[in-house]
Amino acid sequence: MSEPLLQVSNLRTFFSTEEGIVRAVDGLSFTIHKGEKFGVVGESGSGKSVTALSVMRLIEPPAGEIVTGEITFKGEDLLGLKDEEMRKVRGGQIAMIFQDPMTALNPVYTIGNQLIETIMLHQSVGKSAAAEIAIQALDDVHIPNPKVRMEDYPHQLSGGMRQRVMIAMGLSCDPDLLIADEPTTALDVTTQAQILDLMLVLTEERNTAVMLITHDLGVVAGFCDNIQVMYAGRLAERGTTDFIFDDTLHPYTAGLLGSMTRLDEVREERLYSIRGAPPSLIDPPNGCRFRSRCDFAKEICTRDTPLPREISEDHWVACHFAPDLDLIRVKGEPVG
Amino acid sequence: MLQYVIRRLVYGMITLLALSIITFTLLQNTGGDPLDRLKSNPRITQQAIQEMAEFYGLDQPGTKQYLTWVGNFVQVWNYPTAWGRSFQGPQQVQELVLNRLGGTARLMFTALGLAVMIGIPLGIYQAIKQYSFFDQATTTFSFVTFSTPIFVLGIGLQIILALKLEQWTGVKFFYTSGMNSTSYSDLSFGARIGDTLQHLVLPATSIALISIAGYSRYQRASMLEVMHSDYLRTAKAKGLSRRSVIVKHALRNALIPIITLVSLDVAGVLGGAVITESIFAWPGMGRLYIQAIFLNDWPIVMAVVMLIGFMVVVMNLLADLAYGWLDPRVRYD
Amino acid sequence: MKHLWQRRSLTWLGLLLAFVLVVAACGDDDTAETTGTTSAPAATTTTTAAPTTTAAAPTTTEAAPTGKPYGGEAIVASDQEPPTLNTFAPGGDNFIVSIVGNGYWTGVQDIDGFTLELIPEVVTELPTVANGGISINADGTETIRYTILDEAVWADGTPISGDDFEFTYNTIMDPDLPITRTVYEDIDPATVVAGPKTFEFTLTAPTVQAELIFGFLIPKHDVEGSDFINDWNDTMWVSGGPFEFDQWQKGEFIRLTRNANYWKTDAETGQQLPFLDSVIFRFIPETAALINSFKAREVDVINPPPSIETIEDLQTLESEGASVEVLSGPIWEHLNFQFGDNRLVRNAGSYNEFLEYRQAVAHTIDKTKIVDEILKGQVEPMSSYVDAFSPTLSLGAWDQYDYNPDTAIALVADLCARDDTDCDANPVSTIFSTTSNNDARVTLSQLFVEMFADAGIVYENQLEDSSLFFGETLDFGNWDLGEWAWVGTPGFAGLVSIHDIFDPEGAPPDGQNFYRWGTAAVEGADPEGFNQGASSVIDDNTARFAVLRDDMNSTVDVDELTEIIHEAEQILADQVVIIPLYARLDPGAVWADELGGYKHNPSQAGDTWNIEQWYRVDL
Repeated sequence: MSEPLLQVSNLRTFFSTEEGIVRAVDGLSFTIHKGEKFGVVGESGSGKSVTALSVMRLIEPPAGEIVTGEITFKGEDLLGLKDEEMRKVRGGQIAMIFQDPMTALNPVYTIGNQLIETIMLHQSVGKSAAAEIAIQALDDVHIPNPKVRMEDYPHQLSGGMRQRVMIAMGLSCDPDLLIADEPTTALDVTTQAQILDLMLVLTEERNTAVMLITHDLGVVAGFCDNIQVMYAGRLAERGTTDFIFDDTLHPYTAGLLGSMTRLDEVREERLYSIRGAPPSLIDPPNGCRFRSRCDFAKEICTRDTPLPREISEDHWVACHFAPDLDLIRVKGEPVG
Repeated sequence: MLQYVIRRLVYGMITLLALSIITFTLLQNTGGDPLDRLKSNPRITQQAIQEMAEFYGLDQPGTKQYLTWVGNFVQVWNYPTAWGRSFQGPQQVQELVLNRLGGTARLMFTALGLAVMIGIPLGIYQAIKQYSFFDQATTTFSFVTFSTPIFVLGIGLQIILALKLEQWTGVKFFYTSGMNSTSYSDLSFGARIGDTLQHLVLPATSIALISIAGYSRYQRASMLEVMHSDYLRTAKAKGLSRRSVIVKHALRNALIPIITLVSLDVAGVLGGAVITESIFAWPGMGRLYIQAIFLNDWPIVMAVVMLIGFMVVVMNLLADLAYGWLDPRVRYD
Repeated sequence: MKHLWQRRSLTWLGLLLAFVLVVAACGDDDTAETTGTTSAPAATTTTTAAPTTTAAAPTTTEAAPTGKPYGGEAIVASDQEPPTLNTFAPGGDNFIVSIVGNGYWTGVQDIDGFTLELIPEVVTELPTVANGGISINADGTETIRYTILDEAVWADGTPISGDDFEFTYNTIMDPDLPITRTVYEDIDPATVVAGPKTFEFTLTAPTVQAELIFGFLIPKHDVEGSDFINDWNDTMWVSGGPFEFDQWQKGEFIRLTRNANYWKTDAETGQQLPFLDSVIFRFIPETAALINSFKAREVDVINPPPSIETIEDLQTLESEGASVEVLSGPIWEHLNFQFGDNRLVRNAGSYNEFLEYRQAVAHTIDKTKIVDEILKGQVEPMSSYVDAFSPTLSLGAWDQYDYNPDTAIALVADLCARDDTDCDANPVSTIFSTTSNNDARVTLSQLFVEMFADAGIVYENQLEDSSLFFGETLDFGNWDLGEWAWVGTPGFAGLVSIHDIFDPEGAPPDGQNFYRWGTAAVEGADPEGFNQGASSVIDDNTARFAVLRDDMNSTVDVDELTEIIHEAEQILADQVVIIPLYARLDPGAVWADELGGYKHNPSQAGDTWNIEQWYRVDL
């Protein structure tokens, strides 16, 4: 791995609601390197999307606020940038694509319009040059007849096509980092694989780093170099894809793996599901936030918050008992 | 497109025809006898009433009356006799109704204009500044005005701004009633504008206040929905400025739903505002209409209903065309 | 002020609205200057000006010794707008039509606001038998002669002549015109004689109703050849009154301007009438707004609906120079008994046919308390229905029934002692019905509960919506004790015709004797349900009344007529056929510190009856 591209340290992003303060991201640190494919995995509410939005500084005051933390991108402190400077980063150096391609494009403008808008915003080109770039970008994501498609409105395209448009839009300005927030969740399985392949090919070609956010470990399996598992606004476990899959240290990761469908495996037993529900992030008590759902929880889990520890090189886990747990029975034994 | 418009107009005419039949039937069956007023006067003989009925054609069966009416009504170019006579006096309905158009248009378009120009931007601004003091203060204000009966609002404005303000300051700011001073024709141009405003502001404001409240609430909700939409987040993530995000991406989408509301209100303009017109003695359609209803003066009621119906048909079509222009998802087929 | 306005008017378009309005308010004095005739600001404009001038009563006929000032404008506000200006056209019988029309119409008679008696207008005197204007011919017909005032002219200078009378008659009788004809139909066309200053005709049968005809003359020279029903709705023919029609801004106002050729002079000062330059009639439909415009002095005269709250509100303005006159109006409320069979539908044990019972009811009700509660004591209770027509003719025949529960109890005891009653099996009871959507009547029904209890009469209220009460209930006679109102008309004509409602030969549906006092059985089956038996009261009194009623309709001699009406009134009171309660209030308000000569007139003539006498006291 090369030099660090994005460094997030001790990020705390809270939201104030009528019930109280939601500690959506509560002390998270990680680094993404140039060209790295970085997966962020967790259930909904684990803080993975908020992390991405925090990096983009799209947390809307007064409800949401980045309370503490540092976000350094290419050596620059993003949190210290003026709004105007931050806008140049957004879409230009860090692009983001979203979960639901059906709603992520503005329905009243043509996709050409929306692409050109992005390009002209970040590159000093005229409208016709921008149109050329846009057509090329559409061609890159394998949209047939890109010239004609430029005039189409989003509702005239299929879901997969729209996500391709989103990717084209994200990559059109050649960003250093592409944040993809559940980019395939709303798509059918075949299209999912196509889109993931496309994203991988295109970002490899451009050496673009990707922060791939998903709740599905299966999605990141073939895509990412490193995976960060989040739980209730905090880090659960982080490591290389191999570590996470084969050398699982955190009971939650194990639970996720147990509940995952893998295309390369045939299961005979019932899919595992983690019991209970994630805790409320309003005034959470001390201790491990996973403890109420954890089969291995002991008294210490109630008392002390487990801090992330580096068990082996680049393999971090936030569990008091790692690496001493027998997690096989949670993950399930591969057969055949 | 042209085909669509033509088809819609044809449907519109059928709708109007149905509207006329239904309204006519209802009026015939529930309105009572237009000559009741005469019948209750002991000095008027049966024979005189009979002659009056013949004069107005009321001695004919209902179907015949309707057919005669509809046959004449469509020949609008036969001014002023096409729409029949009022039963309150022998005046021609077409004349009476057209006479009120100016007053009604002045009041209602002013009020509607104020409501649109204030209510919609207000709603948008409230949504942008959601939960701010401004948002909460104006929202409270909207709820208060919206739940105040127009009668109370109108009389309140009249007492405070026309009556008391003059008593306190000794200067006449607004008149309690009327559309212009009776000396209007003698005034200079500038004084005419002043006089017009002194009469127009209170009734227009009392209608507009309530519409502003309604429009802003509606627009605020619509804008908030858009503000929380995925495509707006996309726009922000693209690095667009807040201004471009709102102006280019949010506004157009947020304005689409309110078109229906405004277009129906424009259609309703011709109906006037019964209560406000009464309070401020405004020579509008609403007063003509409501009095006609009370006195079973169905030629006037029919004429106003048909005018409003016509406006609804036209405005609906315009609204749908505007929809198509603003929202590419709408197709005409 | 004017210059300031003009200078500012060049630049103000871009200024804030509030500023504009302040400026416009300054410009308002400019308005006053263009409308008034003198340089002093007319009081119709703004002003919180103190009432420095005489805050005298509006009834000032004792005028300023030096004569009354000419010029200025009066604004009369009304909640109605005329549907037409032509009183002969459909809708022309609307009250507001004559309120405005008093300004430009002329005719035989007017109603004096002080005495509520008929007074001559365009003729030298009202024709009577005594003055020779009326003669009863040997063949039983009645000839009436008018002598037109020499000085009476139309506004264009054309003398008002017998031809105009004849033209009016011919117009009314035109079979192609939808005009209500009434007494005119009794005129024998062959007898009409029109002279330059006289008009004469003969009626086939004598009737006092003739005193009300030719109240509106049509100028032959102006109207002849026009489309009568269509041409005169929005404009008026040449005026015969103090003002001329000028402008009708539909939905807003009608303006009349001074008729410089008006032929009347002021009785006291000899000045030519009218005094005002113009009169404006404004239409403000909402009562609250009407009151507010009066308070703001935007209008000078109002005749608001008679609610107690409105009257008390207006009376607070008297300290600021307003004058509020509250009179008994022509609408009179009365309590009445049903004598037909269908009273038993409402109250199977009704004692309505017994005089003792009706007398007991008359002693049971406390009219003073009713007036205090409902009208806040603004006027006196009525002692006779005649009060609503010609107070001077009234005998006050119901004064014989004072409020006295003991008398009522004694009368009920008398009733129960009769051989033909059995109060043990059928206790004396009253079921009271009237309209439930009239607040005053609801209050009345509540007051009755205690009053009837004091008199020991079993009592129950069964109020109904007015559409039901004035529909089926009245038509079929389905009530026991009822209450509603009639409208009175001044003069003998009105007084005579009100007796139709007691006519034993006038049972519904053709007649108006809804009480069915003395009526015979209605013949034949009537599909609408009117069919009923004879009245439970048919006696010498009803027979005598039938004769009196016929007599009064064919008598034209004033003294004879007065005698007949007195006898009729006495019978109705002695027999307690009805019990008159009170007349509804009729308020009139004027800014007396601005306008003089005004006299509120609660009759159908309206407040503008003497509009030619009005003058601005602030000039």
